[in-house]
Formats: sequence, C-alpha cells, structure tokens
Amino acid sequence: MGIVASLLAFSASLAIYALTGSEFLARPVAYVGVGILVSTPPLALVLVLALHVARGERLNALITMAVLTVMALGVTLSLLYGRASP
Amino acid sequence: MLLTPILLIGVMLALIPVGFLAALVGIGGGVVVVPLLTLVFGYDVKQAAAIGVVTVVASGITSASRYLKQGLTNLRLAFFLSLSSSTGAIIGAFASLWAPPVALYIALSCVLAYVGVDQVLTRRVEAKRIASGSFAHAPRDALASALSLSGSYFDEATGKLVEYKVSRSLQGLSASVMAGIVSGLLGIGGGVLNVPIMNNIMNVPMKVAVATSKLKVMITACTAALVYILTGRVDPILVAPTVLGVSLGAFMGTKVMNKVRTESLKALFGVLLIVFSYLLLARGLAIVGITLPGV
Repeated sequence: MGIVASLLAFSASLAIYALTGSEFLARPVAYVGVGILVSTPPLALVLVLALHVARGERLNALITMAVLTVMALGVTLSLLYGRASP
Repeated sequence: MLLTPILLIGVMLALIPVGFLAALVGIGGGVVVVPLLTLVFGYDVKQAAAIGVVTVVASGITSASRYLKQGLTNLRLAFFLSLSSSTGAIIGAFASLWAPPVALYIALSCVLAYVGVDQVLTRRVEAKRIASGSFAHAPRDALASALSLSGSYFDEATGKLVEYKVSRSLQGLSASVMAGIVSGLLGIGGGVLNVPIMNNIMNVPMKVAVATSKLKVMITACTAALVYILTGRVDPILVAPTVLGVSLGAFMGTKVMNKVRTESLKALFGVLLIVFSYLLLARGLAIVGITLPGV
C-alpha cells in the first residue's frame, strides 16, 4: 500500500509540474510521496514486530525490535555527527 | 539544474532497466543510479547520492513486497542478518572518518572478483542441488532452529517445491557484521555481499537469497534515506522520476525472477560482481591517482 500511495503522489507531482511548469505547486505533492515512501519500512517493521508478538515468537520479536532500535540509533547518530549512515 | 519534462521522462526511462536488474539479483542499485544521474543527466554528485539512496528504498519496497507475496522472502532471516549488518554499517560509517579507504577498496574488489568467478563456475551445482533436494539436508544449527530460519519456496523454473535448512548461522552473522562494516566504510549498500553470504555460507538457495537481500537492503537504505531527508538534502521533484522508473523496473524484475533458471541467475550475478569488482578497484586506485581504462 505504501509504495502504491507514494507512486501515485510522485505521478501527481510530475503531472502538476508538466501541466503548470510550477515547482512551487509540484514540490509539496512530491514531499508527500517521499514521506510515505520512507515511512513504509519502519511501519512494516512495527507490523512484523506485532505479528511476532501475536504468534508468541519471542526471539524473533526481540530481533525485530533490535533492528528498529539500530535504525533509530543510526539516524540519531548521523544527525548528531552530521553525516549520513550508509 | 534546469528541469524539463523531457529530462524527467528520460531519467524515468533510464531507471527502468536498473530497477529490473536490481530486482533480479538482489542488489540496491545505488552503485548504478548515482553514476547514471551524474554522468548522463548532469545531476550534482551530492544530489545524486541522496536520490540514489531514496531510489534504493523504492526498489526495495517494490521488490520485497512482491517477493513476500511469492513466498520467496525469508522475513526472519532478513531481520536476523539486518541486525548485524546495520550495526556493522554504523561502526563502519564512523570508522571511515579515520580508516584509509584505498586498501579496503582493493580488498573488497578482490573478494567480489573471487565470489563472482565462483558464482559463474558453480552455476550448475545449485541446479543439481535443487533437483536432488540437498538444500533440505544441512548440519544442525541450534540458533537457526530456535529462530525458525529454515523454510521452503516454489521454484517456478523447475516446478518444484524447494525446502532448505539454514545452517552456519553464527558464521553468517559474523560475515554480515563484516559486510556491514565494509559497506559503512565505503558507502555502498552491501547487496552484492548479502547474496553470497546467504547462498555460499548459510545454505540458502539463490532465489531466496536474492529476495531476502532486497528486504535487507531496503532496511539499511531507509536509515540513510531518513538522514538525507531530515537534513534537507533530497529534492523531491528530482526523486519522483527516479522512483517511478526504478519501481516499474523492479516490478517487472520480480515478475521474471522466479521463472529464470538458477544457472542463468547465478551467471548474471557473477558477471555483475566482476563488473563491480573492477569499478571498486578503479575507485580505490583513483584515490592514489591511477586511472583505469573505461571508468
């Protein structure tokens, strides 16, 4: 769903840009696409975590939680030290 | 840079084969996207790097969701290895502030060349293993059993249900940490290392390794993409055509991958590794002022 929504937003922004030639109008729609796109993987991870918890797979739930923590840590450290993590 | 509809359509069309290939062999595609945007379309290098990372996320989501539906992705294995490679990537990213990259480029180039040649030479072995069902027989691994890492998939090329038993999980985990450190040090996604780690070390069939690698690359790239976006380095208008192109290509790639014979897939991956090996060698030698032909 996330990828479909973001692709729709990107298509809409390109259509707006092609029809009006205005970056000002196209940019917010494209930002929505970027936002949906990058929030999809963390949301998917949270859903998988919930799935593991519901199934009682404690070890796998712990690993998924740790992956989410490492992601958050990577973003925080990169922002703090001003460089992008790979 | 001047954005014209022709340029945006050109970028979109050029990215379709990249997405297709990336979905077929389980890599992110950033190694191809960044030079393509800078050399062919005249994008600024910093902009291209930021767009490249977002593109990898898009290609990863498209492929991973399709492969999950096809029953090819091993979700548990992807998270198990993501934990170690993501940690390694953070260590590598900070170590890159002090470590000289030349030796590392050359070392990784040698590793990729070796694995590439090995993939080409052993391409028929895997087909025989699938036919004989030997992926289901591997040394017992307590950790893999505890995490239920083993699984099965339906191979459309042979029309067989292939069962596989994940083994040597600790060796795979260690290799994954090393791969994460290397990708952090050199700023590459690491997709080229994920597939051989799963396929050669952990007894995972090639197609499952490819599908699982796409999910893993998506998770790693998402962290970097968030940083690029939060620091305002992503131009959404420039991202739009690349994401559309690469996603369309990835979608087509996922339609084809399970139908392709494993020998062909391994040969293609092997050749791609040899090309990457040359590119990394060229990048490393360029630091000391040596230019290789064709780069």
